[in-house]
Amino acid sequence: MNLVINDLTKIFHKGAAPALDHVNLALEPGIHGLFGRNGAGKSTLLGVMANRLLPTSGHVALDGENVRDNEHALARIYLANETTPFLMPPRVSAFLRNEGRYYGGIDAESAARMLAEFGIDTAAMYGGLSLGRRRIVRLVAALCLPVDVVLLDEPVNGLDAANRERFYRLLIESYAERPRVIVVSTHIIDEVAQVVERAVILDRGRVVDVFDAGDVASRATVLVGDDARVAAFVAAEGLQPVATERMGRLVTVTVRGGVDARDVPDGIAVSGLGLQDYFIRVTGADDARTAAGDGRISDIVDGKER
Amino acid sequence: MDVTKKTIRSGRQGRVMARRCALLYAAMVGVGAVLAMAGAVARYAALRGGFPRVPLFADWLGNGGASNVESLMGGMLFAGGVIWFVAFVGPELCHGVARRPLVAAPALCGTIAAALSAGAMTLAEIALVDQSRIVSGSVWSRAYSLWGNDLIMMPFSYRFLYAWQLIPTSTGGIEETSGIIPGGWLFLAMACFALMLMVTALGMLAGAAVVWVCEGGMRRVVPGVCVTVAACVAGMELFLFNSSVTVYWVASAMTGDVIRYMPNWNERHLYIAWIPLVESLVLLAVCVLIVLRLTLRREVHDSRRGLV
Repeated sequence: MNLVINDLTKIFHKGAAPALDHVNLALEPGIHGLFGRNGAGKSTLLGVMANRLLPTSGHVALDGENVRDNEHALARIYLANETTPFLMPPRVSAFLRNEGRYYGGIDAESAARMLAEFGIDTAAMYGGLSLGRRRIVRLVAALCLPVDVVLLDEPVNGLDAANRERFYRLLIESYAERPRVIVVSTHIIDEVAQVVERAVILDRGRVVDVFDAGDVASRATVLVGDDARVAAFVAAEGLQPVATERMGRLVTVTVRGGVDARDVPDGIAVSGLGLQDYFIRVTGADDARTAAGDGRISDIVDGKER
Repeated sequence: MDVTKKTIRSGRQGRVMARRCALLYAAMVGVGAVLAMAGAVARYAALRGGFPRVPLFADWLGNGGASNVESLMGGMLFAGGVIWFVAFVGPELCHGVARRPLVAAPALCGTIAAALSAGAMTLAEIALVDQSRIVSGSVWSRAYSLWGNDLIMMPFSYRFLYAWQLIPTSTGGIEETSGIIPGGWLFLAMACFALMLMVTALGMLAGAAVVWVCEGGMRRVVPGVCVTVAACVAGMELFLFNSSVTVYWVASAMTGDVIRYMPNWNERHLYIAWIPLVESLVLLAVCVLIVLRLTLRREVHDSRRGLV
């Protein structure tokens, strides 16, 4: 089972910048983290995958079937985001039952157990729940439906720390019970880094990197030292700078790939990056250039100079 | 398999959606039927000389009778289309329902609802007219006297019980009319169905248009309102405040009332039920095509823009 996104472009208004710009992705069963800055196109991508938004060009295919207006494929895809998929808020149990009608049933027992962990009674009125609890109900529905693709758009928005941990645990348990494609789009990267297997970074509608979350240390290296010395080393080794920060003569350069500390000359400090830091560097390249303004080290992202 | 081709396959979601659509139209027809029944019972009792007590809200149904029922059921079917596209299509898209069935379902359910409404109204009126004949020995009973004794003043579908009516220009009242023709009730039912089908189609179009306009923000709302106002004014200028005989003739013919002008400008009105029936089918087809085009581009943005 695989979900393939092929050359997907989405332009909302004529003449506007594309919200998605020739996105290509292949998602195998696993928990995928979808990361991007505000306005990067994460929600748009998930919306197109769930047929709520229409692509300008390109397509999304599930096991070779185009999902656009294809109920056979869409019956296997569920998107949980801020949009409440009903008009009048029903009871929680009625909401779960209704979702089950569309997707061939719902694991009511598991749903009740999960909700009980969060202290939510299935007999409660959805409208009477707090913002966070309403979000939890929709997340539980997403995890308990028999679908092959679960798309979670900022799932932990509004959840307190304890409930976030609870959710991550239930997410892993649910995946272990039923391996499928799960895409989690979130800004709380450090927390979800422990959960996701693969990371997809989106920036201004383009995929800038896709990698195994455990290999993030090999994606980039931070070099700190004298501006001239670091520049010379980067040029000599043919490294690709991703981001640059300057403080006087001291420069911090993030370069693509791993760098062996034994190869680094004295006076230059080497360190790895966590997922969040790597994400910030990769997507903050233009901000850094704007701040620095001197371009002594080119800001190159994805092998192309901007 | 060529993945670039859109694969239109209906599934479980479509069936669940169709059930909800059917329930919506059933509810609209049901509410209308209950109110209409209250009025019919009141009129029936009045014909038999009784003075039934009816709730105040149903009082108006008992007086005029059939024309109010036509308006009532037509209004409910129109509202059904509007409610479907404004309130239901968004949630259905969130559940993986394809866009094409979202138009096919209300078209089919609306057509069935229109047929059922027309059938029920016809049967109710058959009973009432029969009762009126029993009471007064004439079709021109108390039940109809409120409209005067003029077919033009009758509810839309009633005139098709008759083949023709002669209206002299000097008096403006009926000089002559044919009796209820054999099969007249069939023609009444056809005309009633045509009317119900038209409002169903227009309701769908209105609902889809409202959503399309609102989705576009002020860029579409302002021109949309202007176009609507302009269309209403143009329609009124053309059909209401126009003394052109040709325009009047065409407008009448479009309702199934074909006028033949005789010497001294006397008018012989011929009632042809096929005309509104064919028009209603054409209108339904046109409305469905337009609504389909609008709905195929319908999107559900996240809650920042609202679901409805």
